[in-house]
Amino acid sequence: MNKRKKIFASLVFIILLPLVFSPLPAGERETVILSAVGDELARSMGQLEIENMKKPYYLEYTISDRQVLRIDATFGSLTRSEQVHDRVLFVGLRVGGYDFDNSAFLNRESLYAFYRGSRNISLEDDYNAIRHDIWLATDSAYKEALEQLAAKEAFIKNNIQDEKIPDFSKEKSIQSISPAKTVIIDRAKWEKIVKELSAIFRLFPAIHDSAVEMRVKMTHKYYVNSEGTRVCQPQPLVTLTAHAVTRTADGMQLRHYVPFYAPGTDQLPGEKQLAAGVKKMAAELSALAAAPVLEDYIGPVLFTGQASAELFKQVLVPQLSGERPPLTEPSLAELAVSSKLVRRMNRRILPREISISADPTRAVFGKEALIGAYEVDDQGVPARPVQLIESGLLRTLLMSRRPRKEIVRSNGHARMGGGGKTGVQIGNLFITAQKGKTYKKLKKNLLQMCKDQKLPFGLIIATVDDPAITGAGSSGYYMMRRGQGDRQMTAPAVMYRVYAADGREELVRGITISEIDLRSLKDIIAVGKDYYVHHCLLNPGGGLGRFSFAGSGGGLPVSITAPSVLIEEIEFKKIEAQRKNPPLLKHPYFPDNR
Amino acid sequence: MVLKTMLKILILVIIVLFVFSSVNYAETQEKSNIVLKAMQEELARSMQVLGKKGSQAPYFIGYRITDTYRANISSAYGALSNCTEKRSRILDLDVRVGSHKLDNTHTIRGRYDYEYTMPVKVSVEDDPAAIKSALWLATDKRYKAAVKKLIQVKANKGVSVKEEDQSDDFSKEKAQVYSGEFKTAAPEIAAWKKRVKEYSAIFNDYPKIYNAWVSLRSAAENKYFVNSEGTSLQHGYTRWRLGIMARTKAEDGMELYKTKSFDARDLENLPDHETLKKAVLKIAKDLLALREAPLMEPFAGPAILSGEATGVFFHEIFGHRIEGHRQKDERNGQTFTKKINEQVLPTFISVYDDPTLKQFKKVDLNGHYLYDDEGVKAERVDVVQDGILKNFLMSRSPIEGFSRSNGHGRAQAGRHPVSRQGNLVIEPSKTVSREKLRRMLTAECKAQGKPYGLYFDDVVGGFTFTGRFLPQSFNVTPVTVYRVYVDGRPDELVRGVDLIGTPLTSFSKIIACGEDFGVFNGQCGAESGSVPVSAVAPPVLTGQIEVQKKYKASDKPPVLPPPQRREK
Repeated sequence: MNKRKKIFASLVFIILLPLVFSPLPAGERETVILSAVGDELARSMGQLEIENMKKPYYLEYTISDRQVLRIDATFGSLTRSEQVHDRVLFVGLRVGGYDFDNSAFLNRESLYAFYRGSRNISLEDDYNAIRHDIWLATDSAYKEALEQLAAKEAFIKNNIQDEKIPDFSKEKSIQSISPAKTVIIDRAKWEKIVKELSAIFRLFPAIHDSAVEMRVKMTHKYYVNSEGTRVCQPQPLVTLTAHAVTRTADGMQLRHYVPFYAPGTDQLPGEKQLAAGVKKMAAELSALAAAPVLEDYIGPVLFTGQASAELFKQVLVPQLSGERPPLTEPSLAELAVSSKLVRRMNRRILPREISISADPTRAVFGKEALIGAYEVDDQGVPARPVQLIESGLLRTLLMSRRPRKEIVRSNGHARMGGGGKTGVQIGNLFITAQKGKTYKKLKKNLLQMCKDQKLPFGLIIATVDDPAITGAGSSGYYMMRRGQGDRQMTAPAVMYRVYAADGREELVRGITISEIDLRSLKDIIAVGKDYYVHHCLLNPGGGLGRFSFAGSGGGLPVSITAPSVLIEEIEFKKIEAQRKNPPLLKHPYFPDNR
Repeated sequence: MVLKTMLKILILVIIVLFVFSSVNYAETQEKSNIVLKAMQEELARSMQVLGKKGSQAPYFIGYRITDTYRANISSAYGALSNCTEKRSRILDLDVRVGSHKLDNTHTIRGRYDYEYTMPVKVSVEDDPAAIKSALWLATDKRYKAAVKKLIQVKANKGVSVKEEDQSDDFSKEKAQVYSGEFKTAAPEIAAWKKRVKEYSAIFNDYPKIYNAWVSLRSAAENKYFVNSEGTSLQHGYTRWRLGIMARTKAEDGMELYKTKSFDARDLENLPDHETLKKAVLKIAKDLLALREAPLMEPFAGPAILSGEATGVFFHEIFGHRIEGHRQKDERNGQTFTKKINEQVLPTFISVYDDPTLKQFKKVDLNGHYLYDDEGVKAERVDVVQDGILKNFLMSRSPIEGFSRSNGHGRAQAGRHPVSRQGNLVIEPSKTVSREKLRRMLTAECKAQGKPYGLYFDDVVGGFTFTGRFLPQSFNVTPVTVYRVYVDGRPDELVRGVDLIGTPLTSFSKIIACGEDFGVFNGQCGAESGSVPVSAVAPPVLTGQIEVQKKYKASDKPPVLPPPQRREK
């Protein structure tokens, strides 16, 4: 029986219709929304005042119009196909002045306020309905701001502040209106592709569970503030991920994934390449299930591809925010996180051959479209390239409009996450080497180091786990931990041992890095010239929160370009996760799998 | 502690007949058999092999797949605010080791014993391979957890004192086989967008109503159920709801709202266009009247509750306390556990719960179903006859003296069923006319020396605590309450009323029942999730009701008036 044929013959329940985004002709929509927002902004700045209380000195509105198509499939069959359209309004209202206002004060009320701060508004470009929503949202934001300012003033009275740094930086206003974009997606076609990709797992009996999840998003952000800034930015994003899990005979759970991210479906790899990518992942995971187990390792490690980019993402990126932490009630102190790099300005933090820049203005790297690109940040400040690390020396940090003593202006890196929380985050990050070596040369270096240290083998890590994708399943959320005390890196997914004697590579499993932090990056002893572009979704950093949620498909789009790096010595430990027996029954689809 | 909320959201609709083409329909029928067949095959394999390969054979396995379609079209002030259609299939499993007498579901005493499991999503297509592989993994996980749990149960029993209720963990029931039609409830989106926009635009004429919306929601739930006793069921239900909601604040900052919903199992049973428009207008006017109404002071004295209000009242303070599993759970207050064959209500009141009822006086009932979520046929249960407690609502979890289910084991997709209400009907043996009931109210007020009594016209559900560790109380939120004066002055609308009290005393004070039965259709939330329910009840006159002041938000009404509207 031809199974595959049968799979695709079994028909789709969901009505197959092309998906058409955006109801209004381009041009008209921006005008209606921006004028409703602008008119209510002007009225509020002019008239919103409670007797004997301060008036707002600054007001900003963000309307995030999101159209999302979600298609999930498992084992050749759809588990979800739906379209969602929502429009959420976020109000930023400040009372006081640039030097001291109601912002950045973390007490219990402000934690709740964070959840109250958004409001779903009319989906239609209806001037009256939108303005009505803005009116009510502004009214509650004003009352809340007054109470926050009073609470903050009371707190200051009792707690002496050493330095006076403004709460809000002054920036030039800009006008940047890009016309709304209409995206036409062939939903039926993509349902078929996602199903076909998920059906690939019918060829891999060693894999227990798998899913392919696709999100086609079109976000239009409308931003208006009382300083005269007006922005309309269309932000398209397509994410397609496949993830799979299995349990080995010795009870170890193994997870693997493959991501395809692009600004649009056109920039995704072709169907054949997508299938090849999923097949490769499934084959790797199957091989991994039979791979030998390592107990321990201390020695040189070559990070390549996704693993190298993840190394920088997990170890360096959380420290790149220069945003001053909020004033914080003592009981909430651990929610306010400050970068460890602040004290290392103009000091060497990486080997001399490495430079790092953040540049949201770049849309491509080579031929690859970057998903972390944007023109204006979410506080209405134009994006600009920032040279963070120059020949190993830390030059500056990424900034929003919340200044710190050393850096008083924004450099356009304030980004707003799905829940309306704005924090400093990278868009595109480029890690470059002055005299990069070929991968072959790096591997040779690795082998030489092993020989010098009389080690039988060294390690190459090609992929590390991303629990936001592999752990979430199709409906769950995974809690990502970030912050100061954290010296962990996610477990390697694809890791090889390379024998010193003959350079032979062999998949291995069972160990993970025991501790890694910024200092480990100083031990990079060689860098490649093989650049890998890694796309992922990150939560907004800084300010609020050492804990944040990253749902599958949520978060801010980010692209990290990194070369392979060879680190002199890293300590590993055995993965201590609970071992469980594999399923008692065989997979029903693979009767011969015994 | 059990916290229940019964939330009445809104809804309605009309005419548009949406029928799947007959071809699609036939195809659908055939497909449902594919789902059942896949479930049966994997179930048989699991029963057969788990016993051999595992440490002990399961004695029971049940699979439930709930296929849910939901649509929601909402509008505020004439503009669309939401429009979604979603479909999902959720798998629930019941894997039991041990015996009917003692199995892994037995409560472990002395510790928090609530198990939450992530819902298992399965293919929305009728694809046996995909469905079976989901069943396979989930069964393995549940089986292993069940084996582990049974060891803990046995240890806990060994170290704890004897339980008060020695009944079995699982009842023995007859196998049921039924295959109904696959139900659909897809609204005609474009037409309904237009209609809810039109209704919601009515609020544009009422600037003092700050927030208002109208929504049409529909749902089709098709359930597939198989178990190792031979039960095999496929049955489906549709629900339509047109809801109207309006909010404002009084000048003193008190939050006020009015809601109205129209529920029906079939689209054509919703009221027509003109009726709906009138209902919206009435909400707007009533809310403005409420805004100007005087504040209610704390009060204890006689009152009439409308039929609908009585329904909610009974659902909360009575219905939840006759749910069987609460009589067994030692953390529960067990108000009625030992009261079988005793008088619990006035002798002129009988109460039954009958999920087989589709309508009451031509009004569709939300709590209708054919089989419960444990695959047991729904039965009418006469809970109270002439004031005497006779029976409980039972799931397959037996209690002392009640060893069988009567088809009330219910759950939302993703939760484990417990006994729940379906259609709760309050049936008085004698009723009086509306006028007589009013006269009786004023007479009672005079007898108690009160200048007025209360009339509760409209309530929006409430919550009740049945636990042992909190006071046994209830709270129903009245929206529209009038003072009915003894001296013949016109009735006076008041605002800021909360109904409070303790259950047993409230029951004993019912003096008489009226004739105008009311139907309350809503969703009831409890430990097994949200399930559709109805309560049918006459208006009642009670000798004593207690009322407290409602929590009042301190925020002032908006500082600025609503923005000037721009003509389109």
